[in-house]
Amino acid sequence: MSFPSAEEGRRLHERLCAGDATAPADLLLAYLAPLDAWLAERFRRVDADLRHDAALDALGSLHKRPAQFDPRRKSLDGYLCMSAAGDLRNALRREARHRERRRTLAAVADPSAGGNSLGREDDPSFPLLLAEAEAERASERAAVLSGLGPQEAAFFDLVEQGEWRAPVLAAVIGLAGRPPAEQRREVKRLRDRLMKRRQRAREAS
Amino acid sequence: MSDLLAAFARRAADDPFYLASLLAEVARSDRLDDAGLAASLGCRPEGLNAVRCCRAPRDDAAGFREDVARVAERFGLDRVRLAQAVRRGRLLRQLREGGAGGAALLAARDAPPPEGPRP
Repeated sequence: MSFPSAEEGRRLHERLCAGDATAPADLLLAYLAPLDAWLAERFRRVDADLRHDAALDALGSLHKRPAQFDPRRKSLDGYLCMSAAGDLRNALRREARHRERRRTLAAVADPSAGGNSLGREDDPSFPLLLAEAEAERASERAAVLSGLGPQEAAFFDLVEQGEWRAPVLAAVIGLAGRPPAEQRREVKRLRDRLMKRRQRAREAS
Repeated sequence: MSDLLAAFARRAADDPFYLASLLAEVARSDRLDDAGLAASLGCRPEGLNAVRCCRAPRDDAAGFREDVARVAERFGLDRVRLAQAVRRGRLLRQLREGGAGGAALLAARDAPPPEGPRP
């Protein structure tokens, strides 16, 4: 399940900005499944309903405020991934706070329980999900960048944030003055290499 | 994918931004299930959720015509039936939200023409 091309994303965004009545549906048809799959891969241990909600929230938000996305700065899929991941982290934090409050109230209501007699619905592992998801990401990043330098690390972080423009990525790895064709070639080469490393890191975990 | 799109369409039914909110009014009023609503619009049931996720047509006459035509063309609907459903959905929502004023509007709309000779 892959995202549409950057060009298709730009066209869809233009249609949203122009008020095309069918653009919200077409955005969902093109991006909902790959965005949900991306979240499932990135937040493997998080409840599927929370991931679905984050994907729906990100797309619904863009329907109503298309100007919040600036196509000069990021690809549409990169933007949506960033937005959905942010929504999901916020949802996890809210849920963790909510469960902590319930746990505290339960302990106050029944001091003999000492906060240890929690029912299934108060699963104490839940507040750890956010930390786990972020630790998983940090571990994967470390595996991908093992043995590489700071330029490659900066390149990887930009790609993860949705940056797709070859001149921007080329500048990070010190190729700012090179011809565009060479920049595109070198950017593609490094991106492919990093994505293969990431795939191997995921398969190993 | 179809489950996620259905989930979005369910959310959209409560949001006036989306066509789903108007179609939900019609379906509720006429007690239509998805198959019945799709048939009333002249489309296949499997395409209904995408239609629901379109933006609701604009209020001005030109914008309304353009939006209805675009949705109908994109998703293979009967343009006239879609336009009727949108107008009905708006009226039903207005009536539901308008309380007593809405009831009066409905009564006035449905009242028979005055009897007797016209001047």
